[in-house]
Amino acid sequence: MAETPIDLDKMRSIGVLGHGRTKNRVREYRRPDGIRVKETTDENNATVTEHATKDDRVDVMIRPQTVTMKAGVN
Amino acid sequence: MAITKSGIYIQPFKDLMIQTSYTGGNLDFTLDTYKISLWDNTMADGSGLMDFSSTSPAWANTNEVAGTGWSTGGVLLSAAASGSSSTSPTLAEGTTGSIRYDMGDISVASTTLSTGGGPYGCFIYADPVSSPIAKPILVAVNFLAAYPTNNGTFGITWSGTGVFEIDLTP
Repeated sequence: MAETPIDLDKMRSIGVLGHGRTKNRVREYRRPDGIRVKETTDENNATVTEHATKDDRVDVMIRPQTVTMKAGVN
Repeated sequence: MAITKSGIYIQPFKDLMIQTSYTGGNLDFTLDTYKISLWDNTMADGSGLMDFSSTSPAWANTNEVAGTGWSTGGVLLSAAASGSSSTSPTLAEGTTGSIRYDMGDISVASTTLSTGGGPYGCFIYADPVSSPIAKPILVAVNFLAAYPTNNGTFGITWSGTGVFEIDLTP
């Protein structure tokens, strides 16, 4: 099936970020014990989890990229 | 200026390849008696501990982040995974033609890490070694931002392609 000009425009736009940075992804939910939790995953793909506990618990999960050394092409 | 890159330290890697004798045990990337420590965002590329070309990249507590649940000097890899278990580091072929250094994910519970704004990166270093380099740093990983914890779990999920990988086959 041939793509229409509108389809082609959509395809060209795939992967383009309108504002230069990826927005944080936020998810809010309640733990089984009823405590509210806010999970924020940022542009580095790290997740900060804030628990509405008396001690203001904050967890972090960092997801670094592999340190990669590449050989040159010969 | 903050650190902007991750990297492998040249001198320890060179010593590994020429079998340099080290007091405290020769370098072995698969040992879990090595440690992971954290730094803040005040170190700069090419200076002090962030000089990957240093001929003596000895670990020091400069700009270290430590606190409740995470001692000064860092955490042994033998106790840095969930439940204080070993991360079991490995060195093997990963992507075809590449050497991969990998280990289980870091998960240390009940930490409060906020000095200097919080952890901005980590070192993995050979803690038992005393000479010719005392506690040589093997690799530094930049987190790209500061991530403080408060009474919570500090975790690192390594990429599926490991902590580092060296492509030997162009």
